[in-house]
Amino acid sequence: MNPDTGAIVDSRERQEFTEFYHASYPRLRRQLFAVTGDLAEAEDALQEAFARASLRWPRLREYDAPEAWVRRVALNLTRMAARRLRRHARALLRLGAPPPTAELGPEVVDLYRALRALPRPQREAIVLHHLAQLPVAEVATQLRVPVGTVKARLARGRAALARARGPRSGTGSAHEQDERDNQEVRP
Amino acid sequence: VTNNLDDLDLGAKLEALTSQATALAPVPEVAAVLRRGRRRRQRLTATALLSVLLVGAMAPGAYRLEQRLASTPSPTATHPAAETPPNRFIGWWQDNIDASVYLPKGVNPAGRATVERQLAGLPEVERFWFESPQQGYARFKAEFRDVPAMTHNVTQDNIPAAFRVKLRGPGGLARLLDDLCTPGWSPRT
Repeated sequence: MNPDTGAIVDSRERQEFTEFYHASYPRLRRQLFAVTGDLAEAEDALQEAFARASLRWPRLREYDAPEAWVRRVALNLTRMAARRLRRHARALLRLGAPPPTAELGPEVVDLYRALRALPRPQREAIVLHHLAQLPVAEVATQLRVPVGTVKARLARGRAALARARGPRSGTGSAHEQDERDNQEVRP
Repeated sequence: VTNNLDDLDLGAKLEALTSQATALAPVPEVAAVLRRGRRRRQRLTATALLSVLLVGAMAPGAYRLEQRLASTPSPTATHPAAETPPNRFIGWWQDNIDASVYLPKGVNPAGRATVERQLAGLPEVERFWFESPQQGYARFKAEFRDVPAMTHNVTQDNIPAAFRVKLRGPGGLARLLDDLCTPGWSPRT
């Protein structure tokens, strides 16, 4: 009885979990970041989700896509405002200062702002379909909404993103949006 | 406004954005995540035990155990229920179990024997017995058969093997914790 093994007792399972972790962590982190717009928050939710996955790995490893399970748990975690605040406080205590801020290049900073301005359901649909590259039907299954709803969210989200990035002569609303979001860009 | 952002472009842009944003952050060691999972499991065990006790304490009349005890074989020969049938589950629990030492999943017989020897050698322990996950689950189901919310959400996998411990005298729990909490394994009460 080794107290250092977590729920995973079998060393082969542990190896497997480690491989799964390293293969999917960077990918899921990018997706979570795109949804939350905040790297510390994305990482915290993701690590919590992996911690939960490690506790039920013997069962999870049988799933077709354990990665989808982790993503769903992490997304759920970021969805709850109260938990977000508590986690944020814990993360501050644990991590100290915010992680090093990556400079966003000019070619993506507009997209970052436009993404943050989207309603969360549209952001989730956009990220799952365009970044995680899931088919629309799969997005619908994972978000537990009808396919038509996903299509509508994708269309509205894409339209809003296109407007925000639109021609520089663009619309007033896009500029106002930019100014509102200008205050803080901390990935 | 024209939609100059086709699907392919959007996917590529999202890739670029998120790669840039996460480029400087290292991937944490998997051990850190496993540690976090272990802490979480300890919290869950403590919470579950606490809520069982709270439910019992808040509704002391809710768990009548006469018949159930009569139909359940006593864990040890010295089980006092044989002489004095308790009226209520919480009363029985309070009278008979002061502490539970849960064993990690997949514990081997040698590990279990170590704990057993240790418990047997402690002066503050009045008596104790082993409860397998199967026994624990059966007892759990019997105790909470009127509370489907509990029984539906708990499977045998959630019930760890345990030593149920009856302590002697006041302050026994503190001494038990002192005596058992040695490096190398982590008992929880």
